[in-house]
Amino acid sequence: MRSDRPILGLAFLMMMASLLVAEENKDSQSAKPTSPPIAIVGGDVYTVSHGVIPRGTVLIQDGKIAAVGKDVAIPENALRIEAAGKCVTPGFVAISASNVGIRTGTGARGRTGEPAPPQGVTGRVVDAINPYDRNILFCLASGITTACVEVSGGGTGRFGRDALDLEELDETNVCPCCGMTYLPLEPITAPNPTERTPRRHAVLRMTFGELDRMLVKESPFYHLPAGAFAGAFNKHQWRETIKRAKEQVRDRNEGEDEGGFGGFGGGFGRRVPEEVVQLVEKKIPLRTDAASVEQIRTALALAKELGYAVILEGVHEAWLIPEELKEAQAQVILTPRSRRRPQLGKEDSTGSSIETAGILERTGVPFAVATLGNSVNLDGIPGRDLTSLMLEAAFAVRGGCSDDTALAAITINPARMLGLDKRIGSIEIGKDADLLILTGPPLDYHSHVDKALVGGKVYYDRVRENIYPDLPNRPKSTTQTKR
Amino acid sequence: MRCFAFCVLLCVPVLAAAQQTVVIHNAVVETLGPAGRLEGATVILRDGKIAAVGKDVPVPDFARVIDAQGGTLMPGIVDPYFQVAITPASSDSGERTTVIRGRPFPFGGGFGGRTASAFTRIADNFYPYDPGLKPLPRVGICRANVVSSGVGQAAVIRCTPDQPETMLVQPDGPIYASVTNSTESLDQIRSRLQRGSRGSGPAPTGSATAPAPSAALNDPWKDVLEGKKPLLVEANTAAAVVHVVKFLQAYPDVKLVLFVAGDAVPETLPLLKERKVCVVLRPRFDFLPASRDRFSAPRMLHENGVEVVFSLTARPPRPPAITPPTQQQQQEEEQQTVPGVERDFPLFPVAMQVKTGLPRQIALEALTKKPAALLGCEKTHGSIEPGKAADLLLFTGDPLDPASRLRLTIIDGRITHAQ
Repeated sequence: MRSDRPILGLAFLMMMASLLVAEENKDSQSAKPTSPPIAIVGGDVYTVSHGVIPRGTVLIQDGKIAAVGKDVAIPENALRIEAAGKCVTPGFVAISASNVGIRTGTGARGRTGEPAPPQGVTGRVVDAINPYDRNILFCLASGITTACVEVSGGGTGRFGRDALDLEELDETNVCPCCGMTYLPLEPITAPNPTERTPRRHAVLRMTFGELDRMLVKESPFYHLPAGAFAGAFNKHQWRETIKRAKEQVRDRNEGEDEGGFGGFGGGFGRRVPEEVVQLVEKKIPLRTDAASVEQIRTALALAKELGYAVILEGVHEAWLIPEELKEAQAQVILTPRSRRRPQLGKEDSTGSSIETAGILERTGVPFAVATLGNSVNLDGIPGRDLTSLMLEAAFAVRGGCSDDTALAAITINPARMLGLDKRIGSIEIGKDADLLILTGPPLDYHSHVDKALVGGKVYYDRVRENIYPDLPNRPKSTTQTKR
Repeated sequence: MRCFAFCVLLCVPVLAAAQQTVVIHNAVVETLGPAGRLEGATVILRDGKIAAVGKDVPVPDFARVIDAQGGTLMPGIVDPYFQVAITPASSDSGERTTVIRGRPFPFGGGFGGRTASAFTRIADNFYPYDPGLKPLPRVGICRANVVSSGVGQAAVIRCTPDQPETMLVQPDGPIYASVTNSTESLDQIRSRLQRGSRGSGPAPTGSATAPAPSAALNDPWKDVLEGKKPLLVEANTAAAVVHVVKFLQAYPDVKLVLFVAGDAVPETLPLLKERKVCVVLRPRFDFLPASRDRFSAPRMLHENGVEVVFSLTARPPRPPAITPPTQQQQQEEEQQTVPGVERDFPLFPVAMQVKTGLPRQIALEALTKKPAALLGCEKTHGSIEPGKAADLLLFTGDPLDPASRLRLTIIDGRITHAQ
């Protein structure tokens, strides 16, 4: 009997689809082809942009939000979704995701027993999309409706070393054998100036089963590891790259024929990637990781000098220099639970702090929250993977920031980083109807996603999917406070 | 003398006909044709063809009579997707080592000698002495459409490994391609179809007068574009199915045949219905997506009006050795089976499908009539009717009964396997 149910469900879906088609055909004979509007009624609407509307209504027309408020006239033919006692929020935006909708080799660190797929997508992103990837449903079940998915991992350079290796050499170190401190040393040979491979990303909507609607945009930022700016050689090369990109932009604006980059003018005699040109034109920001104060300052100084916007992630020591981040108008990606050990004897001025989120909020530095792991991993340590995005934002509240800022850190702030803040990230008229109906307030670990809508269509229903089941006889906790 | 020669001339055809005539009587005949199922019927085979089928057919003189009491006769199985591993045979494909100044340098053989986009014409690479072909008659497969991995043109063979020279019967078979959802893989069919459609346009750019050297290679793709030849695509996942079907929406004339795993069916069913795809799959039970529930993809497809064709064989586990076999290997070969097919119960998985709700007639047609139609030989194969080729299987009982055994495999009127 149980095995029949999905088939029945499928049949039902197809019946519904045929009904919808019939409906559309009927409408298409009239002047304007429209699908019936959807009204989400009775829930507390967390708009993110305009506060909370208790027991409000969200009206959806043609995949967009048509009206929000307390007294919204609901059309006769509207499909009503009752959300009384529940909360309506914008769909969450995962700024760091991998292995969702696209199978790549990166980000599958903790998984075992699965043959390693080839590293990265070598061809076009749209050809690599798998609309039936189960991870899409897991993302929807944890509230993510848009994800910035890593398409191919970048190289950290020829030696595969991080920026840490070089920057840490400036500090006084303790010998692991004798415990004596030793003076900073220059590396005997500086690393060769190798061009770092940028990480490629693509923004995907979690429209399970619908290939055509998934890809939103490619290359929302130019992503390089911190190692790309470490050391004099790398800095020089990055400056040269930017210089060439600026020349290319200038030539293009002057209408000169492109392609005359042979010879000495271009340094290496080849064109810079299109993303770098967009970076120079300030169409996309640079994304890089910068854990220590040194790295943050390097990234900010280079951004100021060369003139591009910057997104910093993994900013463990940002709590020490929030004003500098604010002044540089940097955007920040934060993982509240990620830790960096302070150096011996410098506990007050190094290492991470749980209060980073609060400090950044008070200073006015916008930040997005990312999870500890960026793929869906159901057999690792629970509460670390992509499905714990809401929980991770709650840890930002633990670190002293307000609920509103923590919610913005998984909705409008990452949307802005992706250049999609006009389309998603808050409940406003005209935006995409990417909405969640939560069983309780967001950031509460009791809350589950009841329904997830992407573009005005329900792609996840907790009753239908067997992911986070609503157990009927679960005992009510006596310590749970009533809200 | 002249008289004697005349007599010989007269006698030879008579004798030859007498040698070739085979009568099978007392059999239950699943004709899969308009005559339906006949009990206690007689089938007469002459010159490699079926001469007569029926209950009251007179038995000719000088015929070899096979008493099939209690047995069932059905048309020979046609496998539409028989995969072989083709090893490159060009002189520069293998790895070799050259010594330069005392140091060895390996050359060639980088990626098995084949690039993914290489077009393989099976007829040019087919190796009829392949030991992997030997057990085919034993499991009742009389015709097979031979394909390989990658992309190429398939070839239809008749499974008579004891007559290797005459195995290749249709060298220009359908186009096959196995794809995944990646650009490199999808471009194997996309770029070729696009090129083909441009070439057949009214104003080809470039060399309009002189045909390009690759024009001969493009010909099968033109047939595919015009719907004369089917396009057989192996799509390993539901995502690959979606990518292929969506791309081919621009080519409504292409007759698409998909070889899929059963678990890709539930999600892509609406697309398959819309396109009227013919689906080739193995008779298996698969898991419903993201669950531990088993289901029958053939039944689901049939109940939704999608044409189902069975392929019994699985992908070969390893490339066949083309070195001369030793005696021990020869003994092993006699024990060897077709990958994916039980040696003694070849139709057991089909019987399971019938047991769980797939109509018997549909299941039998999916083994014989439908694949024959797919390969364009429905006029000569796929059912037991007078005038058709004598590809027959005689089972000791019902073919879908696990207790019955395949007694005889007759290919073109000749007993190829007997047990």
